[in-house]
Amino acid sequence: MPERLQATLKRMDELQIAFIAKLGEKVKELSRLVLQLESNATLQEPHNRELLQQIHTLSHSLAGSAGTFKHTAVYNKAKAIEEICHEALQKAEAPSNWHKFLLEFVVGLRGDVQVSGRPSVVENFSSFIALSEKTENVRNLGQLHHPVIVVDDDELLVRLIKEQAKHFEYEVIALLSTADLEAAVEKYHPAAILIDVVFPDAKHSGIEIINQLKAKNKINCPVIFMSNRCDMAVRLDALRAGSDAYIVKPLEILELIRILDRLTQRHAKQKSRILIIDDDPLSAKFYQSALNGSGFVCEILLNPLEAINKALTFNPDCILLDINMPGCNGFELAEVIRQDDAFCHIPILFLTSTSNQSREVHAMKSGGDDFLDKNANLSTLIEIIKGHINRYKELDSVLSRLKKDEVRFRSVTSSSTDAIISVDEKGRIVFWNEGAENIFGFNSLETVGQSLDIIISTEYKVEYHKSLENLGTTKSWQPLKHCIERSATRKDKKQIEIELTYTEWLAANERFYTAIIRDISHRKQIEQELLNKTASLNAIIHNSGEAIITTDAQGSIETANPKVLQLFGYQSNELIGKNVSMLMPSAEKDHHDECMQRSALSFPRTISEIRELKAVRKDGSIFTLELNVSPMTVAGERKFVGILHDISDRKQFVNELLLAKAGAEAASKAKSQFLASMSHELRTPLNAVMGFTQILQTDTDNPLNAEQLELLNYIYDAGLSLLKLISEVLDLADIEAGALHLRKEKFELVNFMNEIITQAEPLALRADLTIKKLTDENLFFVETDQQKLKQVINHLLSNAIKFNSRHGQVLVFLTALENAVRISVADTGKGIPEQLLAELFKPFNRLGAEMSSIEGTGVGLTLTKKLVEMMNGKIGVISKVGEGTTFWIELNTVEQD
Amino acid sequence: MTAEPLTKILYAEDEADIREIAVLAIEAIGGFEIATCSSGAEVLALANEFQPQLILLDVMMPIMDGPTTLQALKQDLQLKDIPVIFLTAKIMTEEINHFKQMGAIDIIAKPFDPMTLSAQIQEIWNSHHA
Repeated sequence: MPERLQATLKRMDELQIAFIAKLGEKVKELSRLVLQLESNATLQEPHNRELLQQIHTLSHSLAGSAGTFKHTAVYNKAKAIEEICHEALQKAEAPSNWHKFLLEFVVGLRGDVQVSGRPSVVENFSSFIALSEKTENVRNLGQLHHPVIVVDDDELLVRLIKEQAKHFEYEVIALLSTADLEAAVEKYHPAAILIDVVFPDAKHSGIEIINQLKAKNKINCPVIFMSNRCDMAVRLDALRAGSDAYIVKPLEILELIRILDRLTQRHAKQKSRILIIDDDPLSAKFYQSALNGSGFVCEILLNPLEAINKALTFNPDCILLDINMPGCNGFELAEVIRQDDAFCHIPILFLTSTSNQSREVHAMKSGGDDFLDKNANLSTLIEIIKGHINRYKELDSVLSRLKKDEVRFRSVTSSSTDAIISVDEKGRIVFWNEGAENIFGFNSLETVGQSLDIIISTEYKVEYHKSLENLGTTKSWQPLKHCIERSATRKDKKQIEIELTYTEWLAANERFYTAIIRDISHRKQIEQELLNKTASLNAIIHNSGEAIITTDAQGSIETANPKVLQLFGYQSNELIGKNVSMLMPSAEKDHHDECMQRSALSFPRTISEIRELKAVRKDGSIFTLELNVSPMTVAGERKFVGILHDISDRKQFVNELLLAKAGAEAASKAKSQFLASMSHELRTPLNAVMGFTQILQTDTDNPLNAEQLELLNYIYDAGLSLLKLISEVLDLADIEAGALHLRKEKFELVNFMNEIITQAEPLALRADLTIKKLTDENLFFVETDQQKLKQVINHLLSNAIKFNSRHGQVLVFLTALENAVRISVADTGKGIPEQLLAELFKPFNRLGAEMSSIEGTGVGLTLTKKLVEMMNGKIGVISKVGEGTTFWIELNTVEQD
Repeated sequence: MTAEPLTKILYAEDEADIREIAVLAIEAIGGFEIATCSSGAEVLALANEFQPQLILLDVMMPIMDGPTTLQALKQDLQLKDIPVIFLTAKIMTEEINHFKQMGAIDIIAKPFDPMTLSAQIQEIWNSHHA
């Protein structure tokens, strides 16, 4: 604080002290003048007027100074005196007791003078600034904050109070023992003291310490006792110790705050308001001045007909009514005011100058609270008024707290989607919230007063009534909490599933039950669907023809369906929980572990593996399994699902097949060997036949005749055919036996083909067919066995010539392919039907030509195909019935050297 | 238009105590220059001499009360334009309007709070010039 300001404040304080010092004199002078006034003197008399003028001036001056120096008590009274004098002077008349009031004020002033010296009666300037500086950082600036001292040995309780009081803007100084109280009071100047009655050290009980401190005059604030004891003895002790309030533990913070507010006058810093309804302005003004001077705020209403409006705007804490008013008497007015809901509690006091019992009764009947005698002392009037106002304010705060609670309660119940229903002891509905309306379809108008039966399903009615009976008989009033699932009936008769909890509560000796209900029909439905799905899934697995096992990540068996049990010969309980490796022979176990590990590593990619392994049954027999394992994640946990097949049968079957195949191959090989060895045996005599035939044909010494020569030709031709057949068959056998080897040479194809064509020309000519040479400009190089290729081409040409039509053609042409060449030999024969094409290359299948005159062994194409395949080539045939057939072979080409 | 800064105030008050406190409040706390007199009669002479920018008049003064003093000021050519504030205990709306009709620019209630008196005067000065 700047120095200059400090000095100024100090100076102001000095002036204040000076004023207080001079106060006594001023008041003395004032009272002297007032006493000189004659009570019955008329105000017309100049002497009295003169006196009144002086009093007026003096009291005006006093009021001014007192106000400036913040002496509120003196200010109020001086002001009152000033106003009364002013009115009297103006109107030249006064109500009967004006003089008495003046006297009373003067007496009051004298009393104020006596206490002015005491500290904190008058607020001095410096402390005002100092305190308001300190509280600058505290919320709610503008009010002087003195803390509340709380004394209790229960540390937890004290801490709790301190925390909660903060929310209501009370600063709490916490003390755990009475020893520190005196010092704390001196230091903090508390606004109130809250103290426990009982302390562990019995010598220093709460009441005792307060008594001590009050004796030392240390306590200037309200004292509140609290205790577990609520008996009369301790309450009296507390009262005698000067307690202002008594709280029974357990402490309810709201109650404490209410009491603190009341005692520290926090909210009642506002002056109480009084509405004076009197048609006599002089009388009204006097009362206004007098009451203002006593610390009230008064307003006057001269026209009683405006009472309600005025009351609504001014919002008084009390109404003073003159009884005798023309146009509308006080009693009638009181009744009218009372009828209005806003004013049904407001204290209405009748002002009267006569005392009349019947009138008093009438006054009470019409809703008045009391009678005020105008002739009574001002202080008496004030006490009566204050008493009524205090009780009214108490009632008002209780009512508004109730209203707040009600609003709070409603906001909770309205916003809840759950149903909140209260019933009384007899099971009748007393509260039904919006949630209940939504869930059950009844609105509160339809339900309040009804029995709760309307929503209870038939199956539960008996249970409900029984429990209602039982509940009523328990003595304790502690809340019971149960949470259960039931079904209930809606207004539309639909049944719903509900979950409900309920509590019991006691209010004014009546029992009530409140249930909070949630509609869980939807949830139940989903649960049921889930159950159904699970059941059907389980059924599938249970009845599956496959053996299905599930294990956890470590291989511990979790489920095994009946097929598994059948497969291995175990009971369910022998498998569940055991490790799956028990089903494998020891040799397999390591491998299995490996697989498990690998599987675990590759978990993120859910690869399923199929493998074969050996398994062991309960009886020890080993068999082969095919295992299909899939890893899966269920609720964050890794598991395996295995599908098992006993493949013992299959394995056996496969083995048999392999055996059969081996046998067949062996047989084929044997055949080839047989043929090869037969070749020699077959060829030798045939050579003899053909050799000697030729000798006979070419014998010049003993020539044969034409007929004989012709017969020999037939023999020779037959022999030749036979030889050819044997060669081809043997070739085939060689190939099958793997005895045929190709001698690879690189050569040019076009030339090669033309040579062959040249040699075939005579044959074609004889068959009346045309054949042309290749005229390709391009050259094709192949690397293969020339002799064998010649054999192949010759065979195709010979077929083309043999199976042609008269005057037909044999076409030979080359087609270039990618890294290969196609050699095509086409005839213009009658063609081969499509379904027979496949049979072409099978041995001894001449497709019906067996019966014809066309020669052939039926082996040629088979051999040709085999040879082409040995050359890494391909062979194929295209045919159209009626047009002709084209045989083609494809060979790989090579680069020219 | 911003007001010219207020520096000089004239205060007429018959109560010595009140006068003293007001001087402290206005001078030390508010930082204004203040001249005082104890009756309406002295106001005109003092005003001519001191040349205040603003005049505070107590209403209830003996012999020449506030309103009378105001009238006198208004009739003085030199002084008629100086703004006048009444200090009074009567603060009903009708009475405030009555005072304003007389020619005062505003009212400050009695008893005043010395801590806030200067601020009140400053505010009235600012809004008068706004």
